[in-house]
Amino acid sequence: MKVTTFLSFILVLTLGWMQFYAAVRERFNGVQELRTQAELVKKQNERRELDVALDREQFLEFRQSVATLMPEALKEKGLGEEGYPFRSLASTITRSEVMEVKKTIAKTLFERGKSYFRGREYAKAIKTFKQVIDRFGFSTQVAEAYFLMAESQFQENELEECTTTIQQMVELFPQHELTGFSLIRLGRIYEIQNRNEEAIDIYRTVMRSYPQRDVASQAKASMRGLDQ
Amino acid sequence: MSPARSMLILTLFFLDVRVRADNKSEVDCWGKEIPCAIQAFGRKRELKAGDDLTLVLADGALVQQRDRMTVQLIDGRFYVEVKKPIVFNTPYATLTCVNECKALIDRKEKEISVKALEGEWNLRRLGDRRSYTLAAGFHLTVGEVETNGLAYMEFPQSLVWASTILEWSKMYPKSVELFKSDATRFRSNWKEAVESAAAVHEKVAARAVASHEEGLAQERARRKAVEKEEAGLRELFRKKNGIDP
Repeated sequence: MKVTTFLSFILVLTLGWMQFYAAVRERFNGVQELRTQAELVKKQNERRELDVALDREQFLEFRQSVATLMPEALKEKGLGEEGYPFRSLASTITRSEVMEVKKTIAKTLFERGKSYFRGREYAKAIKTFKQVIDRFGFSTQVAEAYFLMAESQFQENELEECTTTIQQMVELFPQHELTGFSLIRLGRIYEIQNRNEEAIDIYRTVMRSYPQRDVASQAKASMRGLDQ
Repeated sequence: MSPARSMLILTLFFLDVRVRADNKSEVDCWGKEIPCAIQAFGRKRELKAGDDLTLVLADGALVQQRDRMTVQLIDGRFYVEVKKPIVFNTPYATLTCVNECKALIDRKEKEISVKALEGEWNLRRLGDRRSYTLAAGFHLTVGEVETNGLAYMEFPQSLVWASTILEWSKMYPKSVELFKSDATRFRSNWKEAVESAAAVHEKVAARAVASHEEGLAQERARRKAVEKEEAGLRELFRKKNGIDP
């Protein structure tokens, strides 16, 4: 009994001593102080972020409230040279119609390309159509841009590039009428390269796959030309 | 008391002291100060104002109580249960509850999206004097103010069942049994919403078709008038120049 009591006393003493040692060590080695400081900085940082978020919210509210007043202000003061600051302000605070603007830019660029094509400035036309394809791939003019780019490349005697463009058209717009016309152009390229059998294959494919009358009759005419 | 037991109690005492020291909670202003901003860090957080308002903030969500009856939803996803007309404000729209309401609200920088789960919500978009009723089972998105001076607002859509239930279950603050009964109630609301949305869409489609057909008829009439005028002109030209028809 005495031994057990003694052992318990020793255990309690050891635990107490360990606890005391740990407390003293933490108190005097500076780790606790640094930890407290880090915690404080973290809290300050969180507080600052919160303040920034609240300020941003107030700014957003102000901006939206101003936006509701703009239509009336623009009607009264938004015209002419003097109205420029109002128009400028309106453009920064109201919801931007980005997609509409992009569509318009795509259309303008495409029309410019077409005008170069009509004026036989094929190098410029290729560059412009490439811009339409790369920057406005979503636009409705993109199939036509591919077609006119292939035609421009053919006119510029860039036969390899023209072939690549036509292949892209086949992959992207397999059913499109213009792809049929481009394939006829591909047949013509094969003819130039004395690959007549491949050209005939292409014309037959076009006649089989493209029900549009113009495409089929053009393919038939090209084949007849080759037979003679 | 045996020595082994005393040792265990002593060890547990030390352990308890250490755990308590690590989990010291931060100072909270909700319900004590106004204005009071609260952000949830690391996990969702539940805020209550008596029995009238329960607001659950998803991780990272930020809210500010501006006065006793106004709560500004600033960022993140929220689940709201409300029994009195507290105003939930955003830069794009304000939202108030007509009767006992529940909703999932998602506030992003440029829009707010409301999924009404129960009750009837009153929504007023910025710049508009009218307010719109959003019934349970519907979903509505309001965005930035457009060039017409009104905040952008989508046509209300019926909610998608599976994703809504999943999102709700993650945010739900009470027991599973209560969630089941709430979800059962929502199911009937949702069915009604789907049916009424389908009817509304049918009407809108019919109206669009009718207006398109009217446009076509007008175009036909216009062409006919132009042709008639051209025929008259040709007749006049022939008469003036003595040409036989």
